Amino acid sequence: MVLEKTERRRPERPGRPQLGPAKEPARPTGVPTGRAAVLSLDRGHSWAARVVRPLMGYLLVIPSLAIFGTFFYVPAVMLFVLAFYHWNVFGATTFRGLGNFSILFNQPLYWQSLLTTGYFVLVMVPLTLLVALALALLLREGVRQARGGFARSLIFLPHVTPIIATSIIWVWIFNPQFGLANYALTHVGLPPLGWLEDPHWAMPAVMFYTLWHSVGLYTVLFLAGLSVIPEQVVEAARVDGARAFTMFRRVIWPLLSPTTFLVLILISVNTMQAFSQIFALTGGAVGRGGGPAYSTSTDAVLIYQTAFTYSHFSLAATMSLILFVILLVITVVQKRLSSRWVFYR
Amino acid sequence: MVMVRVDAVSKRFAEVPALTDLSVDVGDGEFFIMVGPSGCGKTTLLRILAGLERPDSGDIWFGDRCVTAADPGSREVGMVFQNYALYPHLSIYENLAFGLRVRRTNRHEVRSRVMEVSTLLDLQELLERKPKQLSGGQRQRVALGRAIMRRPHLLLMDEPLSNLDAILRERMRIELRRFHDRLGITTIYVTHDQKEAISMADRVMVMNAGRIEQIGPPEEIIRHPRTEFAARFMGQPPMNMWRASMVVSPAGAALVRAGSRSTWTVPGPWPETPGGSPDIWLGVRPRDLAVTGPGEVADLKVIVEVVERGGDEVFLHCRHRDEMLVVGVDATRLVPHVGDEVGLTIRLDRVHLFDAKTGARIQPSGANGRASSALLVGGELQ
Amino acid sequence: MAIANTIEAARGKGARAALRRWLHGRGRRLAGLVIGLVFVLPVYWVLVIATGRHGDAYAIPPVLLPALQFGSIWFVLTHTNIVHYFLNSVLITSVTIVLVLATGVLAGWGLAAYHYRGREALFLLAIGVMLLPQQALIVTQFNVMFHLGLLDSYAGLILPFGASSAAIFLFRQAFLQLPESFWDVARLEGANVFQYLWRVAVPTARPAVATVVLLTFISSWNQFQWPLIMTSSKAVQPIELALSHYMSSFSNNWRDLTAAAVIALVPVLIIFAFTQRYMVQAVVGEDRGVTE
Repeated sequence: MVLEKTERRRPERPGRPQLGPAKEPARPTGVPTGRAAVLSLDRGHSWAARVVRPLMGYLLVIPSLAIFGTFFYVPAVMLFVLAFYHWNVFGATTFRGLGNFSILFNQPLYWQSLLTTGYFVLVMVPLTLLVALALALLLREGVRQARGGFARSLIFLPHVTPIIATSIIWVWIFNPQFGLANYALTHVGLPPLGWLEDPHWAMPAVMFYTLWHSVGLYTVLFLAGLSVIPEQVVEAARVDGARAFTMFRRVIWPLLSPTTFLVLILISVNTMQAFSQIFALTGGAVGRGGGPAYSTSTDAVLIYQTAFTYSHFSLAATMSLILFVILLVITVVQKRLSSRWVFYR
Repeated sequence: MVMVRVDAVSKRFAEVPALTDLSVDVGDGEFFIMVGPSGCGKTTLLRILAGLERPDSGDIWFGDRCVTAADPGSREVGMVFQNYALYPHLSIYENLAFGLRVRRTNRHEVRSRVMEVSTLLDLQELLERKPKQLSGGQRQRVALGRAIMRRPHLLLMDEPLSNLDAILRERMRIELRRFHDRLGITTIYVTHDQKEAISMADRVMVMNAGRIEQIGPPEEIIRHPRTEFAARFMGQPPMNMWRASMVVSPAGAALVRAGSRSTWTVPGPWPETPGGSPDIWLGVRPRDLAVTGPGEVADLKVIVEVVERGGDEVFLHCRHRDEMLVVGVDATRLVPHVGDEVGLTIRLDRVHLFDAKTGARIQPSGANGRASSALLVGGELQ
Repeated sequence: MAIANTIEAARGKGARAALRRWLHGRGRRLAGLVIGLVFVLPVYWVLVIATGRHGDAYAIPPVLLPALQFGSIWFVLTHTNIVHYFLNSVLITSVTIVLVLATGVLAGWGLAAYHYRGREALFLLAIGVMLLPQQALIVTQFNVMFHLGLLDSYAGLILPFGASSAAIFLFRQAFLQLPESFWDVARLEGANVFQYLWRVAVPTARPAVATVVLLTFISSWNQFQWPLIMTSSKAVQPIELALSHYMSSFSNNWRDLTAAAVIALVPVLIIFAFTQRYMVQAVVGEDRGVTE
């Protein structure tokens, strides 16, 4: 065994010849001393520290940033430029200034799409919020164990399913002749509805689907938010005699406000950008007209149609720019408001 | 096989100097301990030796090979970290085999080496387990095993015992020393515990603020500390340090403490006041103080505040005016009680004198020098 | 007497209190389960119709139980190109997952292990992408894709999603928690950065890996709008697009249509069944961590 030494190498203590101060070692001349360009996490001031380290850091991040830059940041910047041009992807571009905007604002369909989007958002946001919150409160067993168990997973399931696949069954559900929806309605004595074929009910049908698909996510978020409410606070309130409603108003709601705000932002942003389900429910089987009488043409859907069905890229870019700004403003405003209204512990 | 030479190494972090122009040599097979308070630079020096940090200036030599610019992996150095740094997701076997696997050693060679090391450190039973299933002492042995897997020429240890409880620490001190002796491997060890340093080292290097205070075998540092810092740092309980003034008389040295105006004579011969100023530190080890017996004249009077018992020895923590000092007393003798006023005598032939400005030890002149004595006047108890 | 009554009331004796307790405990759980089942009903129904008898889709009242006739599914599998689309999805999803892991690990390490000026800025850039509204970008993204020649290609469906802010965030966080001594040990043993990443950093960050895999799988398998716009030939299209085609070509053949939907749903359902706890954690943990 190489590791073992056979003689006792233990040096004797006092009396052992001590090495004196450093003598000049037999150094070959011309040998450079000091640091070399070796990869190291040295936090000093050597060349390695100043050049190699940042270089390595940047290098490792470049693949991700290159993808982000090319496919996300560049298109974002492009919006601010191309909206002022007349262009289609394949051909020439000519500057048009605000021309696109004036054309756009003269389209009644555009304003209708904004109204539709507003309708969609204004209904979905409170509705989804309330349902998600109610479900979270229901599923929460005790204050700490907010996992909600199996039911939670079931409610969450729709959120991870592919939208087109599930839209198929919802088209069936909303079928006026043999769908489940009308069956349920007639069963309780209400008149059947046209649903996806009816300009008045197409959007509500889409809302229904969207609620089904997305509420799971927000419920889970609320459950997580509920789980960080400290138990002592709830217990203290209970000892003070607070019943369910007071408990909610004075204890749970304020402490839940960070989550509530997060959910609020998410719902608004996601709803304004909804596309796939609208396309599938009212554009796919029924025709690519954006729903009966364009009743489900939200802003996002209209952008798609303008660009990819009718190839009016300039207008589409302009609409996209407006949407971009609106969404950014919403996010920023809500974040600002949150610092004023949200109660942080 | 390897001598380690540190040649004028300096290093700073941001604006803070960690090491200043430090040079030291370590002999082949030596158990060399670097000791000092937190922030003194000992760990920095260790990491520089390992190659984990680069010095700003100066060189490191392993034998006749200059390794200042060499990668840690090419220096053939093994290191044991304070927190052992065992990979939690690997078994003990794989932890030990890590270095060999990185070098794509073949399976059989890996196996034989791992078995070799684990037998040496009595780890055979534990090879399939994960680190979190092991006790502190076992983990440390694994860390040690990993350090020596590739048969390094130099073994570095960074406070390896500080995470263990007191009893285990005592045992491991002996185990580590025995391990070192068995392998004969040059070992450089860092600790802040001077007790460890005294009990384990062949030579000790006391460090403070990036500089060397003293290097030498442990007993020598205890008996002849060369700086005031080394005197304070080493030894348990710590040396009593008093401010005083020193005047060299033609015959010997004398000290006086503040207030009492008594002058003590320290037998010389002493050189003329070195450093130009008469202010000094006077160091007296607790065991060089004694309670006055009947009929003896006390050098100073103190009040006993705490009686600390420790087996054969008793330490009296006493108060003189508003300062504390420690006296070591034989337990078989009569021990004073708390609140007693006792007189103390000082073994003046065993005191240590240090220049108050530089901290350097004041040495008596050679035997052939002029006989002179130092007169120490007007000091304060520190 | 009054005290005893109060105590009794507090301890909840009596029929009313018992009812309330049941309502709060098991009643709640029951209600939750019922609601959960209602949510799953549509998915269940896909199965019912897909495996039902011919004409079941039109039945009133609607059929409740699946007749378990797999003929329709078999038909769709063999007489359409759905297998091709399915394999496309498999290819796209798996390559995307690998790519996201690679870029995420590298970027996460680059942002965690090295100290340099501009590190914070790079991190913000990596995370900032999440703030960009996707729908507003799709038009100019098409422009970029066209000029890069990535339309109608696998690369065009994979590459833009090859990096993920969530992955970078998660890996950076995991690597920040690795003690520096781990890396010291590796250096002493002669390992380079990539060996260290592969043998130590990533294995220790296993939860992050699992989360990233799940999240990427969900978003990649379910992608619809992007391939809808960026591809026109059926050669590279993933399965959601296939379903969209079938919605118009099979428009009234509910059995075959839902059979196709089943084929698309099955992988998701299987993975969900095995990983539901982690999936929920993945989505929630990531959301909460990023915006807070």
